[in-house]
Amino acid sequence: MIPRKILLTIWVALACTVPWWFFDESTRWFGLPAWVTYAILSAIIYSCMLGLVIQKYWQPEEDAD
Amino acid sequence: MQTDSALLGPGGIAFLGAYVLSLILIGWLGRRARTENSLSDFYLAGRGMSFLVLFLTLYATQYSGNTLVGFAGRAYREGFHALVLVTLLSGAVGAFILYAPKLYRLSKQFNFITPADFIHHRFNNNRLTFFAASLCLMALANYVLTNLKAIGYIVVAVTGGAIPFAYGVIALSLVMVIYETLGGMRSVAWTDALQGSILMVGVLTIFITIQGEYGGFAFIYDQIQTADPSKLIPPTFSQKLTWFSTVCLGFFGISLYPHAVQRIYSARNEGTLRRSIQVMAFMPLVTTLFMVVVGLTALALFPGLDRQASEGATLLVLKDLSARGAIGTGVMVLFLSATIAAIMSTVDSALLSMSSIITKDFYARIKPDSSQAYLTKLGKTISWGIMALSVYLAIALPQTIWRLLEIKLELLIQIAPAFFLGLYFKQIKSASIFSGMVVGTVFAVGIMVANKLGVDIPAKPWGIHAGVWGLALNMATIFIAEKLKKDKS
Repeated sequence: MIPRKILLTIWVALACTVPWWFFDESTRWFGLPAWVTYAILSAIIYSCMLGLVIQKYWQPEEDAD
Repeated sequence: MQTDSALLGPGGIAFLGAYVLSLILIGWLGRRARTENSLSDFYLAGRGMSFLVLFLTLYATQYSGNTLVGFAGRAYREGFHALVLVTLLSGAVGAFILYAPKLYRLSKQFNFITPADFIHHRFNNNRLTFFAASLCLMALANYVLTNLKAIGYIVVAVTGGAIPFAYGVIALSLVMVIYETLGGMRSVAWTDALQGSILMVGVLTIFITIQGEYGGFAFIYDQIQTADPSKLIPPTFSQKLTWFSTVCLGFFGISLYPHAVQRIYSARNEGTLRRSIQVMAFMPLVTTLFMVVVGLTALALFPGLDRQASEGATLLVLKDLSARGAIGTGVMVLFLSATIAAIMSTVDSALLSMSSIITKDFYARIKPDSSQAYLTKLGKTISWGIMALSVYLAIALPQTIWRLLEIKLELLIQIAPAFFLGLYFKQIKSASIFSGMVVGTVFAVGIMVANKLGVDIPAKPWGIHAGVWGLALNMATIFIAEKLKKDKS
């Protein structure tokens, strides 16, 4: 594990799940207000990212041995 | 407390009763699988949990009755803003990645039983250990009380008041404390595995039925745009800060629930823990998101409900589906079983954790010569005592006091620096961590209590939760204390 690199990745991605950049509901993505679609997609991407981080960086000690 | 009509007929109620009683059988099987009479065996299932059991117990514990009932109600009231709940739970998994691997290895090496065992091992400061253990205990007590109250209301709704609130709370608490004292964590984890499976199937079933019957997001959007378009407006800047602050609570608070930490200790090996947490990363999408959709569907179908009525959003959707013939009694029984299962799996885990904290962090530290067998017996007695007190409070506590019990994560989040900094920064001293924890707790609790008692202080100054402000102060205090120490030396 590389805590600093992972910490940064996890926190930046988590902060990005907040729909900071949306101010009106008129823009539509996939039939929903853009900020709603963004919030759903970012939650999905964040979960996938966590799965990938675990896969790549978490090497169980017994495996590493 | 008498309601007009029962949600289930005699057959459904009998099925639910049989399911609840079957949990005692599982508890007995857990006792038979016991390998030794020790704290590690009783509180951590002998540190031998397999992947499936570990994953399901983590899942069942993390998703409480609040997920099935409260989250849908919140989605009804807040509209799409309730999507923050999905990342609230994802945030906790992100935190697991940061601390679980190292903590697991240490727990294996030094035989940790409770979260405070790590804090004592790392900082060797009794004051800090007792304070952190007390915070854990208070957060868990609030958790148990609010969930017991929820269980009473569900029993009343299911039986139409034939079983009164108090009897429902007493009966289900008795079942929980029996299977818990029979086999400790092993029984709790095995019942959690069953409860987690029911919970997952229940949520998936209601979500898929809703998609087929009403038409999913397109239907929700069209209906809400007509009935209440204000629910489609993006969050304001202050609401975005609250969104971020909520995610912080999930990251630093939910991830450190003592019963979650103890499940990390209970894994058979690190590979098992890694796989369980990896699957947990996707659970907010198939549980929280689905329940938010249920709440939004209720908003689309039944706009204009007040706060209290909106808490029954899930049941309203279920009743509507039943009236349309989309679901039969079986699905209704399944969902109500899932709700009861979600609550029971959370309460039993929190109860076991409280018992371990009192036994190990307080009693065993004051009387270190006590034998493992004696401590285990004491732990079981304590479980009965806690449950009896909780049942009494759940039935008798006045409503004004209940408002104060909402303070859970605000307390728990204050132990986060002890874990995150303690694991990765060797030079940090116990005095700094203790000072930070005291300052953060006093600040957060002060604001929350003042707000709930009617003082003109917002619970979320500038949109940020009092607990998160407390955590920021906590960290700042640690930083200043460390800097002063460095300058002195």
